[in-house]
This record gives sequence, C-alpha cells and structure tokens, in this order.
Amino acid sequence: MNRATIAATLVIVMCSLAPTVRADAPSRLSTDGIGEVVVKPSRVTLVTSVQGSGQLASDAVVKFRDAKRRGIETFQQLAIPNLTVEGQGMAIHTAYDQNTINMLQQRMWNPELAATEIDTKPQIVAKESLKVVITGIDKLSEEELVQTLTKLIEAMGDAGLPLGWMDPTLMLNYGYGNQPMSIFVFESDHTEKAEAEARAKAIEKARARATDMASQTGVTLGPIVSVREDSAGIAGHNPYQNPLQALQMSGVLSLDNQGGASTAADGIGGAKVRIRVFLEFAIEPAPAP
Amino acid sequence: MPRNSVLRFSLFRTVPGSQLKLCLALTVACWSMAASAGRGELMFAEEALGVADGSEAGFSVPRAEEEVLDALVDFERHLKAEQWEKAFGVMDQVMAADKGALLPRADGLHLPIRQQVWDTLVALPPAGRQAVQVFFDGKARKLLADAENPAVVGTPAELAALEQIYNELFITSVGDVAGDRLGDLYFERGRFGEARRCWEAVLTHHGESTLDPRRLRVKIATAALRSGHHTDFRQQADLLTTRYGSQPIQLQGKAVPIDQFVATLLSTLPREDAPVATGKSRWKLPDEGVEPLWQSAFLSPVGKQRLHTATSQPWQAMSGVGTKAPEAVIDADRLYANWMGILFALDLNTGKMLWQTEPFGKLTAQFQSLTQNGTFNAQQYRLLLHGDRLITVTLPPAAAAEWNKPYRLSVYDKATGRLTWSSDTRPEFAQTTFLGEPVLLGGSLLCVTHQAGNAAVTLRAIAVGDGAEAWSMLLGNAQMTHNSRGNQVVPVPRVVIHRDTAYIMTNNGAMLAIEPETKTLRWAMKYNQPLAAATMHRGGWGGGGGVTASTPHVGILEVADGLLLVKERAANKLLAIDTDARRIAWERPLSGEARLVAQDDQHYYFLDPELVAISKDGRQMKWSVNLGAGTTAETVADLGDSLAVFTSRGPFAYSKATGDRVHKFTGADRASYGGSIFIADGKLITLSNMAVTAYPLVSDTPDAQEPTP
Repeated sequence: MNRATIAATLVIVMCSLAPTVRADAPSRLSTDGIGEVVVKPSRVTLVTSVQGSGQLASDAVVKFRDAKRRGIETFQQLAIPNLTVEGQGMAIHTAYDQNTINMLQQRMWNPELAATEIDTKPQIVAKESLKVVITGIDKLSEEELVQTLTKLIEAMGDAGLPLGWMDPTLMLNYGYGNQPMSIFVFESDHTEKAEAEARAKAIEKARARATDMASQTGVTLGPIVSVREDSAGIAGHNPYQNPLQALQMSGVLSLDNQGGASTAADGIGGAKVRIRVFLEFAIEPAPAP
Repeated sequence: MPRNSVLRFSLFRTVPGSQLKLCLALTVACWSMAASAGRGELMFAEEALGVADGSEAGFSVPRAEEEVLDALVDFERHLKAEQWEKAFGVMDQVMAADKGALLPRADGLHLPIRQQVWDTLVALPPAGRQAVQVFFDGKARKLLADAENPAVVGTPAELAALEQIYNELFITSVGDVAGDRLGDLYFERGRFGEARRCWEAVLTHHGESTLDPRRLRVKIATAALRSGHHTDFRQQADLLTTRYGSQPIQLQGKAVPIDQFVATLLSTLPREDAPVATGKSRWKLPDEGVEPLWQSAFLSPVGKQRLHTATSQPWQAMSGVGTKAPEAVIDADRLYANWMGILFALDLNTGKMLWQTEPFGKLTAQFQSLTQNGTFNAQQYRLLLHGDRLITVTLPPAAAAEWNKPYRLSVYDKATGRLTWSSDTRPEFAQTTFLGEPVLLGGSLLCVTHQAGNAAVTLRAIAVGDGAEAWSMLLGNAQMTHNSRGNQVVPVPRVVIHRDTAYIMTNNGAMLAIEPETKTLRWAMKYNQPLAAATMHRGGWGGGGGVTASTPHVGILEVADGLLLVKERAANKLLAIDTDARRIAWERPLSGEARLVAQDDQHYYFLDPELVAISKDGRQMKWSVNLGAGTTAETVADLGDSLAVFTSRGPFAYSKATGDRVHKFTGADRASYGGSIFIADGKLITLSNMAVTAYPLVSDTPDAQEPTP
C-alpha cells in the first residue's frame, strides 16, 4: 500500500467519525442536591437492666425480683408524664464468678496451684433489660427536657440501676472505659413530613445547580430524564468490630449517618433528616447556525 | 531434734521405702471407715489423710508423727482381732506418744488422736467394753476416789482426775459418774458446750448407767440454752415435755415438775414472731440539704491528682489503693484511723485533728509506688483500742513503698499518738510479718505471723505493754497465693476468741481451734473451698480474666447464736460450726465477696456487695438491694428499724423488713465511693477514702440510747 492509499483511507475514516462524535456529544446534565431538615425528637429511650445472681437459683431469683420491683418503682415514683417501662423478658444463664475465672487462669501456668480447690459450680444469673421510654418530649422546652432527664439519671443512680446498655465493669474490662457511651436515644415520630421537606429542598437545590451549570456551559436544559434518591446509609461495616454498631444494627441505637435519612441522634437538640437527590436533565440541541 | 510433722508427711509420700507404711495407713483408713459405717463418726478418708493423691491444697496443719500413726494402725488391728491386751498395750503407747497432733476425719475435721481413740473405744462391741472394764476399772475407781476426796473437791486436781477418767477410761464402770460430775464442773466454769458433751456422752454411751436420764436431759437443755444454741434447746425442751411431762425432778433441793421448769426456760428465749426490729426507729438520717457538723478531708486536691495518676490503669487499680478508706475505731469522743500507714485522731465534737503520725503528703507522694511494688496489702491496716493504747498492724508509707517490707505490730499512746513500741525495733521480729488484726487475751495480744519468704505460720502471744513475746506455737504451713503484682503472699487470717478457745480462720482453706491456756491445737477443720485468686487485670497474667480490685475485707469469722460462722474471703459457702460438738451445723452458698455486717433476732445482713438479708430460720434470702455502681461500703449502722449504708450516692437507710430504701441523704462527701458509717456521740460519722464527715442525727424516740460503737 502506497502512501497515497494510506492517506486516503485515513481521510475516509476521519470523515466517517466526525458525525458520530457530534451525534454522541453530551445531551444530558447530571447534578445533585442535599436537603436537610432538623427534626426535634418526640421520644427518648433508655435501656437499663436488672439482674440477680447466686449459686442458689432461689437467691438469684430473690435478687432479680427485688431489683426489678425496685427498678420499676423508681421510675413510677418519678411521676414523669408519658414515661413507660417495658420489660424485655427475663433471661437465665450461668456464669462463673471472677475469682473462679482468675484462679482457673492462674492454675494453667502455676503448677503450685494445681491442687487448689476451685469452685466449678456456676452462678445462676437472672437478667432482664428494661426499656424506658418518654414520649411527647417535643412539647418540652430544652430546659424542661434536661431537668427531666437529670431527674431520671439521679433516680437510677440511687436505685443502683446501670446507665446505658453496657455494664461499667465490662466496659473497663474491654477497654471502652474512656469512650463516651450514649445513654439516651432520641427519636422522632414525625420523620415522614420532614423527609418530604428535605426532599423538596434537595430537589430545589439540584435544580438550581443544574440551571447554574447550564448557564455557565452555554447549554439549554431540557426536561428531567431521571431522578434518583441516595439512601445508601452505612455500608461496608462489620457490626462486630464495634459494639456501638452492633447495637445500631440491633435497633437499640441509631447513629447519624452520611447521606440517607437519619431519624435518631444522641443529642437533645434534634436530628437532621438529610436527603440527597440526583437529577438528570436532557440538554436541548443547540439551534442551527 | 524433733522433726516437723508436716515435713514428715511429705517424706512419707515421696520416699519409695515408705510404701508399706502408706499401705498400712490406707488400711487403717479403710478399716475405720468400715467400722464407723452407720454411726457417722470417726471415718478416716484417704483423701482426708492427704496421701491418696500425693498433694494437699491450702493450709497444712500439723499431723501425727509416723510412729504414732504406726501405733494407731496396730491398735486398730488388735481391736479388730479382739486381742484386747495387745490393743490396750498399744493404746498406752499411742497416748504416751501423742503430742497433740491431728488426724483427719472424712468430714474435714482434724481431731487429736486422743479424741479419735476415745471415739473408737466407745464404739467397741460388748466384749470389748467388758475387756476395758476388766483392764481399767481399778485405775478408774482409784481416780474417782481421788476426785471425791473432800480435800481435793473444788481444786484443779478434782478436774484433772475427772478429765483423765473421761478422756481415757470413759467406758469403765465409773465413767458415767465421772462424766456427769465433770459436766457439772464445766458448767460451773461457763464451759457449757463441754458440759453438754459430757452429759450427752453418758446418755449415749452408758446405757447401763443408774444416773437419772431426766436429770441429765434437763442439764443438757439448760447448757444448750446457756450456750446460745436456741434451736437445739427447743428440741431438747420438746423432748423433755413430751417424754416426761409433769414428772418431778429435784433441782436445788426442790421437786419441780419438768414441764414447768422447761416452760420457765422457754420464757427466756426471744420470741420467734417478734417484729424484725426493736419497734420504732431509734435514729433517723438527716434530711436532704442538712449541712455537716464538720468535715475533715485527709485527701487533698494534690493527693487526688496523685491518686488519679497512680491508679489510672486497670493494673494499678487492682492494688486497691484507689478506693482504700482508712480503718477506724471510735471511743467516747474520738475517732482513730489508720490511712495506709498514717495514724491520726480526730475530736468527734469539732473534727479537729488531734494528732497524726506523719503528714498526709507523705502518703500521697507514695501512691505510685504503692500500686507498683507489690508490698501494699489493703487487708493489712488494722486498729484496736485497749485502755489507753492504740494497737495497730500497719506499715508506714515510706516502708510500704519499698520491696517486701514486713507489716509490723505497733502500739501507740492514744492520747498523744506517741509510739510506745513497735515490732520492727525488736530484733526478734525484724523480719516478722504480722498478719491481720490481733486479738486481746488478758494482757497479751494473740498475733498470727510469718517470716518473710517462709510459709510457716506462727501464733504468738505478745505483751501489750512492751512487745515481749510470752509464748509462740507453730500453726502449720500456708499455701502461698499471689497479690496483684504477682508477689507470693501468705493470706491474711482472722482470729476470734470464743469462750476459752482462739479460732483462727487462715483464709487458706483451714480453721484452727487453739487453746491458749495450754498452747495446744485442739482441733482443726479443712474445708475444700476456693482460695482467693490473685487480683488480676485483663491482659495480665494468663492473658485474660476480669477486673477484681484488692479489697480490705478478710472473710467472715463471727460467733452468732452459739455457732461460729466461717467463710473465707473467696469461698462461696458460709459454714456454721458447732464448736462444742465439733461439727458443721449447717452450711449455705454465699457470694465470694460477702461479709457479715449486722444481725438481729431474725436476720443476718451481708454486703456481697449488694445488701442482702438472710433469715436465721431456714436461712432463706429474704431480700436484696443493689447499692449502686462503685460503692465500697464496708460497714452499716443500725438505726433500729433500718440499716444505714454509706453508698457512693451518700448515706442511705434501708428497711430491715423489706430492704426498701426509707431515707436518702446525699451528704457532703459526694466524690467518694462511700465507705464506713458509724453512730457515735449522737452524730452520724461517715468515713470515705477522702474525708471524715459528721452530721447531726435525729432520734426517733425520746428515750433513745446511743448505741455502743
């Protein structure tokens, strides 16, 4: 093939490609917008627990029975409006006391302790979680809510009820002693309306951004050809890596996430409902010169 | 040189040449078990002998010498073969060679060989008993005649003669008369349990006796009542009224119907259906908002910061330094305290510091060292008042910061805080560690001690006045345990004097009954209960485990209702020992951390660390109350209908009947973990690891009397 033939072929190819590029030139414009609405919580939830343990099952039951009765009475005596206490069902299991565990471990590496008596009778443990819920808190001022919760915390301390979902000793044991742990979970019963508001805001923002982009690039926006709302939430986490996430997955605790709808927070100021919307516009063809 | 019996048992177990003796010992054990089957007495168990598995856990008590054991084997063999003359000849050898060493029984009791020979003799078949009378009646009659000699009656010689008959010749024809008279002598001396044992032995082992059984049973019932065994007394009373009704009995020269006499005794008992407390509350905690009368803070802000720094890591917190409140005692108008080696006295009226042995900064400067060097022991700071003296087991902060310093016994003038004497300045005690709180016996202190690095534990009687040792006796060998830093330590024991006996709970798997007057080990008990493990932290030894801080309490050893309540610190079982009958009257599972803090007619109250009430009748748990996270309460104050506890939330009062909280008082020591609480001088005194605080106390009854501290 001589040079003339090659050049002619290239010209043909280039000429055939030119209309294709023009035909596939950007005909759509994509943009997104995030809409946020702060929702005041209407409900606060606290999880505590009562338990009794002993080598005798009867001792464990007496301790459990008294702890539960006193726990419920503690909340009732506070006379906080709209407060309910709901038992989550008693569980019975066995456990060894700390001295036995320590001794078993020491005996493994210390032959002098080989003959040492170890009490292998397990403790009987009766335990129940109590879910304490106060509704209608959106009708309280922030100050009133703080006072109510303070009263609750003080009463629980006096009654020996653990604050939060994790035993303090266990927290220390597993190295979480220095981590702030949420005590209260605030939730809203009015998120649908907030979501609609946030969505409208998100769409408005997306549309505004698209208009601005079109203006700056000299194209004309056509109709919206696709709409997508991102609600990916938290993804890619192993819930067993962090007990907080395990709790979240179990529905006891919700964390504010990035993107998607969030309906809970650990602050009393309210939770942000965030909606992210993706819009795709058609680009009107440019008028013929 | 006399050989140590404990060591001899070690040799006995390990030297191949001793296999024959081992077999003989086991033969004795098996024969004895068979012989005793059905009567529940004198069972030698292989495990109890400590030779079956070649090991012994916990405290090792002195055991019989090998020669004595050999003789005992021969004695039992001859008896079995009805070779009476040979048997009694060997018995004499056994008695002569017996040095008071002990032999274990299957139930964990270790009794003197002499006692076990007695048990064997009274269980002999009729032919054996007849043989005993043939061989020993003459000697017994001679001894009884000596005891009845008017010149001897009322003298120690009378008691000695009767004891010899009872201990060695009881199944001779005059054993019943001697036993009855010996019981009378014991009763007159207040030794009710021993009196009862003598009379019961006559009834049980002298069926042919001509002594009036009604009279013996009345005596037994009376002794049971006097010794505080109310349940046993009620059983005896039922038996007497059912069996003998209104039959007359001669008492102090008068004929008295038995049922009438029993009714008189019964009327002295506390009513079983009596209300829990003494009626209306005698004291009431201050109302919320009441200001303290005074507060004396010994932990300064700088000290708090040092404490925080020194205990910020779990392994440091395990030392117990972070929550250790001072030990304290109170007299009429003063509080004396031992705060980790610094002693001080406060005026209860003003809170003014009267004296202190060192500036408190000397302690706070050592917090870091105390958590690290392994010498510090939260159980080793004790106080005792005796007349003008303040007796303490302690170690000053500078010494406690050094490696392996022995805790010392020191006596101070309580008025001035001036040191009278201290064991560390006496050469003979330079390396002696004094373990736990001593007890007073006459002008002496009974102290349990050991030498640094040595497991041998010794009981010493030391003069309060100058620290001179009056006598000592080896108790046995401890099994070392570990503290939070991995150092080997001898567990801290508790001692209590009950009647004429010193009971020593070793916190090491054994309890010993010592007769101080004769310096003899009367009996011992090994109760295979768990020993306290070293305090550990996660990631420490063994790579796991939990958080168990060192606590100052050293288990339960209390006399209650005539029984000795025993629970070692980590044991999960409370034992009630009838020290007279030398048997476990009852036992009950209980939390390892439980300590007895109060009792009344109907309940025992324990901190475990919850406050729990357990009925004395049936020993059922009646109620329990959670005192809240972080509470380190060590004592309770009896307010009448309620018990006051110094919790981490302040002093709270709980109903004795239900455990419900009846009063809340936050108080002025709000950053502490709680601690001890007292009523003294009409005030409520709280003592935390930070401060002593006094509050006004309100009497609920016009004629309220201040309880004795």
